[in-house]
Amino acid sequence: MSQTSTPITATPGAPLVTPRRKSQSKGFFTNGIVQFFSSKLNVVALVIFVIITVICYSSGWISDNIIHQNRDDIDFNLLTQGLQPPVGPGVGGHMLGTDELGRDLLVRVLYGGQVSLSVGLLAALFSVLLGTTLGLVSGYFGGKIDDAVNALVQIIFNVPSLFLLIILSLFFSPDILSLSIIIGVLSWPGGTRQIRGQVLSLRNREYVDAARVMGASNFRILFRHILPNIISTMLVVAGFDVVSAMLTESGLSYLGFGISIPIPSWGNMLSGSQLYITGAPWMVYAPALAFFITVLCVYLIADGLRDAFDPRLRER
Amino acid sequence: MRRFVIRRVLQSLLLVWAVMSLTFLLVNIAPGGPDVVLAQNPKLTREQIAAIRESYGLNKPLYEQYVVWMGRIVTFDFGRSYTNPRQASQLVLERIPATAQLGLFSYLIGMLGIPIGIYAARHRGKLGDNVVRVITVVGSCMPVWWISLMVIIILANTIKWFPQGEGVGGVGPWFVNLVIPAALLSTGVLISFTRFVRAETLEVLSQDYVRTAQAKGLPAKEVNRWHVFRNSLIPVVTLLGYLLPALVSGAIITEQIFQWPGMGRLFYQSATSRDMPVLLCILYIGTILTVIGTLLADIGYGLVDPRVRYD
Repeated sequence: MSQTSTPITATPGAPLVTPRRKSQSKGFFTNGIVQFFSSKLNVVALVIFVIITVICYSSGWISDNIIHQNRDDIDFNLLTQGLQPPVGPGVGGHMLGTDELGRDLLVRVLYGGQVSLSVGLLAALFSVLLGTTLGLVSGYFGGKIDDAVNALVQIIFNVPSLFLLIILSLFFSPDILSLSIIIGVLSWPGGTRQIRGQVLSLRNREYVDAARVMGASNFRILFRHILPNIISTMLVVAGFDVVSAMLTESGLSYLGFGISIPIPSWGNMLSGSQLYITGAPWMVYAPALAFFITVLCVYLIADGLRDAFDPRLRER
Repeated sequence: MRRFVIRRVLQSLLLVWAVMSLTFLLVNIAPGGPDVVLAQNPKLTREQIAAIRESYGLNKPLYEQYVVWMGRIVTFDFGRSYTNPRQASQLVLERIPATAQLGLFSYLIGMLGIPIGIYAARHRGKLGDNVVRVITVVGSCMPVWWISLMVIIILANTIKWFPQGEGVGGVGPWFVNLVIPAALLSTGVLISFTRFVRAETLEVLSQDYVRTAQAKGLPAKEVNRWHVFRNSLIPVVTLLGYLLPALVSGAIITEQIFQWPGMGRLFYQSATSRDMPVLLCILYIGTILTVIGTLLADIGYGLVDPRVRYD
């Protein structure tokens, strides 16, 4: 059998397999991340966002140990004590003052932030998962599947989403999870379009053909060869999804159709605040400012990611 | 072109149908639908519930209800309002002029974004451009209700007045009461126009034909007029269509904050009282407007840009 092929005889000490040559380039993704961190504005936005997130998510601990009041007590039990004149910042140990029910505003702003951030992040997660899956499938398989996904995209694009969200909220009496799902389900089409476009150009590359020739299944090609190439796009889409989900949630909650009271969110803390703009403006400032700074940070991060990953924008 | 228009119009009708069908399904199968609401009301006896179900057609199978509902929608009949003895469509139609005033006005204000965008692109990297860019980024993070709240705080604490409702007593008060909500409602559109026009103008400025025009010695004014603007404003046509519906949904919040007596405020009030016929009627109008906006954008693009061909 082995008259033509010479058996591999290893000289002692030499490695049998030459190690794969390490690529000189660090790769597109790493380059993008390096690019992202090279901008001071991006770093500042990221740091502030992380700090806000950590503080908001430890609102339970902070209210127990610093304010010495249980967070859920503040939300549920103090409701029964009825209307009270709001106390200004710094009075009676309330760092940011209290609201019209005598509840400590600092705790509510932090807890509200936890709720608002959770909705933003979860909704973005749902939207990106759905958008990526559908974008991958419709771009890769084309044909009828593509048509079906496009029809869905068209339908959702043409629904006035705020109207639909309000109607839906009448049926679901939204909590964090259901609101995130609804917002996510109504906001995936933008991402799907971008990802589909990328997949269309990726699926005919040589390395995909090579994988197919070697007998890789569609599933394997999608996950091992195409998905890694669209992760940067997914990140950017996710960033902007967080922004738009937070804007949507706040608007809905502000109108009273979002997160249901007494659970606070930055939006619903401000609903009805028009009554207090002259008497107790601190009730408006704290949640409004926290909301704006957080959304701005997420926006800057998403924008920075987009610039870092888009070589065309980088040249400008 | 003609075939394209006909196809797009048919597609749009199909879209309206699909959206309304989905809404019907959602409203009827969602937890908390009409049956649950009826069952929760302790004052109603079983016979009364049956009578109510009968009168609203709820006892028929879902597909039958659907056919009846679709047939009525086509004739713009949404049934009586739950809170008002009058027809839902009538209530909604009355409110349209107020919303149209607000929307039209804020659309006009929003179009100021076009010259601002051109200005920013032409002075790219200079002070003016940077100011515009910072404002667009910051503005994108301020939802309409947020800016409105801030403006109200400032007005209430300085001049002790802010617009509430429709000004009464002549054109002057009406205008003063309209212009502030309209300006606030327009912020989203204004920012979209500014960014879009700026990006498009920059794109065109980097094209070869602009460099050729400059190289052959045309004065900057001529280049801008004949080579840059004519091309950079083409895609704006699409944006004009796409942004139309943004004003309708933005109107819910703005009209509620400033008590403007339009369709958005009616929507808010109907939502708090769960007045389904009115809500669905407004959703229907909103969907039609959105679809028309997209349709106009697609057709307009083909009319303006000779490079686009429909086959």
